[in-house]
Amino acid sequence: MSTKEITINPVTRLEGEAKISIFLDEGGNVEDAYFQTVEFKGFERFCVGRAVEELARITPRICGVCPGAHVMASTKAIDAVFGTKPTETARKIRELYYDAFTVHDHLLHFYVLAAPDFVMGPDAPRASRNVLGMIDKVGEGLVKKVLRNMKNMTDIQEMIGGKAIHSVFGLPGGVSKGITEEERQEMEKKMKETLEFVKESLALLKEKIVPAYKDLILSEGYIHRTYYMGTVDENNMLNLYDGDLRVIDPDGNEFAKFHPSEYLEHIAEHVEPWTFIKFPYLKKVGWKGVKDGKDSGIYRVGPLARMNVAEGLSTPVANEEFKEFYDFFGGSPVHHTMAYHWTRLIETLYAAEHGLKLAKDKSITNRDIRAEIGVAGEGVGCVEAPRGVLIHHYFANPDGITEKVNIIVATTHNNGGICMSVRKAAKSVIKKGKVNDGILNTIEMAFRAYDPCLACATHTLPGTMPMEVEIIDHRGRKIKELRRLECDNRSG
Amino acid sequence: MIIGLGNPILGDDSAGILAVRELKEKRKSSHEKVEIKEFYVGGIRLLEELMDYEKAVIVDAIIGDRPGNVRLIERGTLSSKGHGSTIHDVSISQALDLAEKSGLRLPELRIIGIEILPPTEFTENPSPEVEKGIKEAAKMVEKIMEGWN
Repeated sequence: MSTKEITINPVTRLEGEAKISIFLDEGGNVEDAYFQTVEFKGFERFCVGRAVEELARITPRICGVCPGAHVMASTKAIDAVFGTKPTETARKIRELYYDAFTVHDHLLHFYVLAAPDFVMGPDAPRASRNVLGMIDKVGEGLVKKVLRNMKNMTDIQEMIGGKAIHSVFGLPGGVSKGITEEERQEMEKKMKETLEFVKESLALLKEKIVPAYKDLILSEGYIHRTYYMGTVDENNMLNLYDGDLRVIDPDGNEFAKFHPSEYLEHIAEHVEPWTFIKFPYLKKVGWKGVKDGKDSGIYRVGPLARMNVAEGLSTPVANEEFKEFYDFFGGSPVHHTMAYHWTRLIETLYAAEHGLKLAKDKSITNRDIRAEIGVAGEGVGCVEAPRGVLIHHYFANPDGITEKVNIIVATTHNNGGICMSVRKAAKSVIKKGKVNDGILNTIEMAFRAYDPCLACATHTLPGTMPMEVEIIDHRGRKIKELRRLECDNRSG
Repeated sequence: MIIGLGNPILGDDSAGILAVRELKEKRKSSHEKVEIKEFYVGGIRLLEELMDYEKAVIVDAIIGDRPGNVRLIERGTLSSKGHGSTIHDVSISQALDLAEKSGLRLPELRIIGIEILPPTEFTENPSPEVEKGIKEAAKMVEKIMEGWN
């Protein structure tokens, strides 16, 4: 069977648009599929020449989706630039903020993005396959609870960070503001309430969604046998804020464990001409193309990866859920892309339990919130963003002025995984040239499982990401185009 | 509550934020109880901000072909797509629909749009045409606030 060679020129795309191009062979089956997006220019240029400690307030503005992750990675990079670490109290404050941020982000993804596909069904009309449609099915009470609990987490971030979005509290060696006893009690109350809601959310997934979609979850069309990377502590337990990066191979054996400052010894980036997002890969395995397997250096990050690299979770209820998850799949590692949704909720539970433990700890109101700092130099900060490993790497001169910035975001790490998932999903659902909106959504589900933040990966306009899918036959003719355009740019 | 939406380092996308900064500087004592806020995202998070207020104005940049042109946007003209057109959130229109359908109390809302061309570069400075629009939008908000007294 022959295929037409098509030259894809992403430069002609509208800025801020993601595009999936699907190429069919003579039989109308998928030969290949590409996921592309376009970037804005000048972010690094914008940072160079500025006081390096300002980057904690600048870099979160790459993105309105996960600013808390950039605040934290940037603050940690600035710690390293000045050769310091936060005080014990400051670390607890940062971690509590980060737990609240993680819970908020994951709840938003689950209820607004993921759940509608499963509650309404992948083939439901587009008009109802969203959170509004869910209200008709599950009732307004659930949605009110979602909003209230997300607001709980926003309030905690605001109390600690000054602002919930683009928080301004990160300083080298600590934080700018302590927590009062009154605030601590308020945060404890909010975290306790939301912990119960997270438990209900996980129960909803396990009791309603997993049984109904077991075949989809376990289907070969959504499996990729890749390496995985995530942050663990000295006991190989999950840690979202700090630790070493651990990599396991597709068989589950430890492949590498290193301090994040050594990332360049382990990770390289490959460039393809048809997309602006790079493809990070494991140096010691090498770049073998957009494919999975032990011989390919592609690795995945994010909730599924974090569970795969960890040997457990340090909070009791989440740890039981961790064990139950692996029992269901018959062991570790789990390669099923749809499992990202399940693991996302397990770590939401972990973050809520961990956050409650911190909020109950009265020593979090201690006043030692800044450590001494040294002379500026080079520094790397790394956290587990909701979507996966986030690395900020700064170079400053001795006067503390930024000379160079390198940021690798989670969605970039997952670029290989996303491309493979889109391609495999397209191949499994498009047969003999037949396409419809339900099929488009099935392909998007593969992509949505990663909870990608293209704003970060490409520095695009926060929250505006129209999607276009084009189907091209073996003669190179576009036979179908499905678009989600006219994003209202927040206001219309 | 007056909310200026935008990204302050993405050129003309900062129009809404700069408009409310103008307001803050010129704020009269009769408007001291009105909260003026800069905000950076739409959707559900914006909804969280609006939930506790009786009246609100949102000022934001909107993509158009007459940069600097300012217009009042009616709720009914906001696009409302079936599935979220954003990757990680709902649109502002969907967020408002969600609030209503969930029985949440929403403020009486006015939306002012400042037209911009699609921003492509990181910079703190708006273009000259949009700068004019920012001043006009700030005046429009002041007029709305006068009507609240």
